[in-house]
Amino acid sequence: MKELNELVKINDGNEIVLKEDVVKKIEEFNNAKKEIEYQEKLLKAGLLEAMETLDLKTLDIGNVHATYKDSYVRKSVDTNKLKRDGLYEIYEKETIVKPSIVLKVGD
Amino acid sequence: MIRLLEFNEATHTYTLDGIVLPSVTQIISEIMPNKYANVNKRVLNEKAKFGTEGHKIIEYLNTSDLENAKKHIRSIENKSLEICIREYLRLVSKYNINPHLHELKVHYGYIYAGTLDMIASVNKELSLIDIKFTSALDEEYLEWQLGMYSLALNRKLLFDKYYCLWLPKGELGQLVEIKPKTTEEIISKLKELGYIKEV
Repeated sequence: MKELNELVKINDGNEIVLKEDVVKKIEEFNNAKKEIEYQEKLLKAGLLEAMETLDLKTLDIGNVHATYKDSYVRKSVDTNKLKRDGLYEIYEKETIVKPSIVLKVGD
Repeated sequence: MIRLLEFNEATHTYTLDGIVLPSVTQIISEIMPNKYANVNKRVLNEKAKFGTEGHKIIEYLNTSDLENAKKHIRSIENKSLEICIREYLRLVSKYNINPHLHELKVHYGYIYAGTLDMIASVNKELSLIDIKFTSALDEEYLEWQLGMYSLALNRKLLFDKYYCLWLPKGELGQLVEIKPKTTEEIISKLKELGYIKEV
């Protein structure tokens, strides 16, 4: 048995063993995060509509401070066009990225 | 004469009176061949599974009792999918969507067949709706898809509007109006691809 840290071990059969209760907590946390992010998006969408209806630029309700931002034109570089025109590769640079884990707990 | 359209779920094949017909999806994949070229197959399968589950839930969800429907969807285990379905119910309420038919199999002669997602009233206007759970909305794809379903139903139903109920994972849903391809555009493309032979 090799303990890599308090949550991850490699057992004698060379299987990776995870601390189950922590995995469960991460899954619950991820679900709670999704719910809160959803509620925040709903709140922002509702506030946008309400502030446009009442023609408000700022709003303060308790701890909530909302600022209405007007529509604007964002400028960006069309990388697909640069690739098509053979220019992308000229300005491309390479960077070594350290190994990492993409962790997905739950759905 | 009554024609019998059958669908084999395992092979995803439509047959009409025993003749195998190409699907709408298959034809559009020829029109837009590079749509999923850069997407990892495992990711594509996961997304397809998510979409299939979502379509199934919507098909059997009774939206005439919204409060009960809201309670019912709390039992969905996949949190992201549960949120997508809540968004569906929010849009149903906001746009007064009244579904009449779900998952209807249609065919255009012996040329092609497909399954449309929904025929519904949207603010009292008869509408043909496709439901998408994709992260990006491909309007051109929907123009072909809804156009082809509409052509298959042309002699029976005339729609006021065409929509996509877009329910992307992790984002708010939207009801997006689509202008479907015309009969002429579809027929011309089917001829170009060899599905309709020029006489």
